[in-house]
Amino acid sequence: MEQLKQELKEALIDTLNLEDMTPQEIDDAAPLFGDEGLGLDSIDALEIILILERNYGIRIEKPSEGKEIFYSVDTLAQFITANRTK
Amino acid sequence: MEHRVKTYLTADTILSALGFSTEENLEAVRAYRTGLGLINDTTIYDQPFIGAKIDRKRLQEQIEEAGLDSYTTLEQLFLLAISQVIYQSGIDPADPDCLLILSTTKGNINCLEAEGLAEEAYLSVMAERIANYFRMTHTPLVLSTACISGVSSLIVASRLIRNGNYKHIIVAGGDLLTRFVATGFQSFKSVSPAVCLPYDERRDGLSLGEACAALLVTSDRSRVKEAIPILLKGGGISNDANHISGPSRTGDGLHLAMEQALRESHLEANEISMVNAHGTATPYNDEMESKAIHLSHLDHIPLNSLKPYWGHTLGASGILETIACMYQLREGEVYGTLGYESTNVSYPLQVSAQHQTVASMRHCLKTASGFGGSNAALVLSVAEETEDTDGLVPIETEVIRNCLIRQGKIWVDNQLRFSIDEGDDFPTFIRKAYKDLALDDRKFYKMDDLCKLGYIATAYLLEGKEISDQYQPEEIGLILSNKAASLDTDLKHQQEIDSKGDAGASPAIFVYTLPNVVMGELAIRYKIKGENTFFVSGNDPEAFLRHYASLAMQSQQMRACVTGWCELLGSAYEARFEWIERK
Repeated sequence: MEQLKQELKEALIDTLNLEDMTPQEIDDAAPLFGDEGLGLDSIDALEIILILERNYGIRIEKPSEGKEIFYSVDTLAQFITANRTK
Repeated sequence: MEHRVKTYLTADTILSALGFSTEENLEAVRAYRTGLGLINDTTIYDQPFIGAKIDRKRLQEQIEEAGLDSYTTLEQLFLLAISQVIYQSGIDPADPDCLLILSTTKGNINCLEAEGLAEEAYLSVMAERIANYFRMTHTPLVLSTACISGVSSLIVASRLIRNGNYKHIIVAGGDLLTRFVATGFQSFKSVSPAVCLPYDERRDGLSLGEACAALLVTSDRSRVKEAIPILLKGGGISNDANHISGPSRTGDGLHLAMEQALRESHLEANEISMVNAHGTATPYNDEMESKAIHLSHLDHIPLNSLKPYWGHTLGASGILETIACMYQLREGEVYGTLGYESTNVSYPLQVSAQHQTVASMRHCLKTASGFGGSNAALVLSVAEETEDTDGLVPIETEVIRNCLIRQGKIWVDNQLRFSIDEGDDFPTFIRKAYKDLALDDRKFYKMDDLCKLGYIATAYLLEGKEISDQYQPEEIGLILSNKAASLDTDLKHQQEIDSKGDAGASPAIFVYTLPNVVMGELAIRYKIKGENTFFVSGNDPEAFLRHYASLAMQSQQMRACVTGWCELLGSAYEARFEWIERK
């Protein structure tokens, strides 16, 4: 799980252009979206859907399905562990 | 007002999946026939999808007859459509009083597939080829402001005519259904698996289409051959200043554009007979529109969206749908929104499901909204012999400050303000220029290079100026121009789909394949909600931008404006920005 979280953080920083951020700075439990957390938006959500598809073989059809799953690195990692096909 | 002038809309044509003339198209609409259907063509998308394509076999016959083989498909459509407008109105396109305005989001973008960056990928090159065919006197204007391009082009045309710059302006809008566009919208998960259902509670996305539509905007009554002449009374352009792709959660941006259009037309909301909205059928767009229409007190007025007939035809849509509005006004009929049953938007609208006759139809409000937070609205009216549209006298303006960025150097008011080591590339330069401003804006690094250039040019231009203390958001405008449009990022999107396949398209790249998104980013950063118009031009149209800014100030409540040239392609870049205020 720890390795998966690290991998996820690296993918988020790289894909979402979180310049000047390191994986250590992303709190596992902090919200990814909205102003308090990383401040991600709807385009970032679509990019996360692509990460899930490409790296873990998980398809999400509608961005609205991802709301709870995308809450934090923790929730994302749990969802991936339970649903990954690769 | 010193002079008064009427801006008539006349001599129209529509080329689309529903036919090769306005008549053919509207006959299909009246019979509730859609141009949308299953497209099974892997050169556009690797999965079958619902879309609307122009009949290529029929097009080829027309091309051969007209001898237009040496032009691209989109150019051929423009040439056919514009020829119709010239034929119907009898104007001489070479007349110095005549101008051409083209509205397109992606132009000949399909040429990137085979040839990479060919000359015709430049919108200005495409426009010149079209204007040269008709031996036109003036270099055409090209507007590329995402999905509001069509409505904006008509508003720009009316302003230039009301100012007396031209007598006749041919306005033509066109976009093709290409792999570039299909993969992009699919990456946004915004394409419906069925024919789109605007405002309906079952709506789940838009349907893409392609079309080319053209008409004449003229102050010359003798060119109007129709029994019931139609006037363009007024228009408004605004920005949400909220998000570059997501519709506003309040609808206040679109509301502002509608309010401007009504004010300029000297009309109250309850005098409007019908609203033809954008109605793409994405859940958020239609919800936003319901709020905006409610804010504008138009929710009791018959409303429709014509997207279920043609699909979303991008740069053509505003012109195509305006033409349909002209006929609805003349016929006293509001066309039905095909497939509509019941709605779940926050503020119920009077969505017309079936064609319905409306007694004494006089004024129609047409709206559009698009990426980059852009909105536009215009009012069309059945002409009365007694009334005129106000003429436009440009407001006197003053350039308060300028900023120039070139080869790693930034000048403000001709003083060198920032420079870097020679040999630094654009990414290094722009990052250093950003750090030097000591700003904390997480969004900056997410932008594409064109937006970063515009962002930095504006940041240095407005350094130390608190424009939001001085002006209301709706009093500030953005009027920008460049040559390469968004080609720098267009090439990246093309590369993504070429290397990763159709499903590999990145929404974070695709969203920047529209040049007006620069203005969207600036609108968010500086809370700018006024005019936002992007002209694509072969050269920096410095004087024209200032002139247009002063016209827009007269026409809208704008009091200050950022105008400029923002050009970037590969390693080459240049920005020349100005901050202009009313004198």
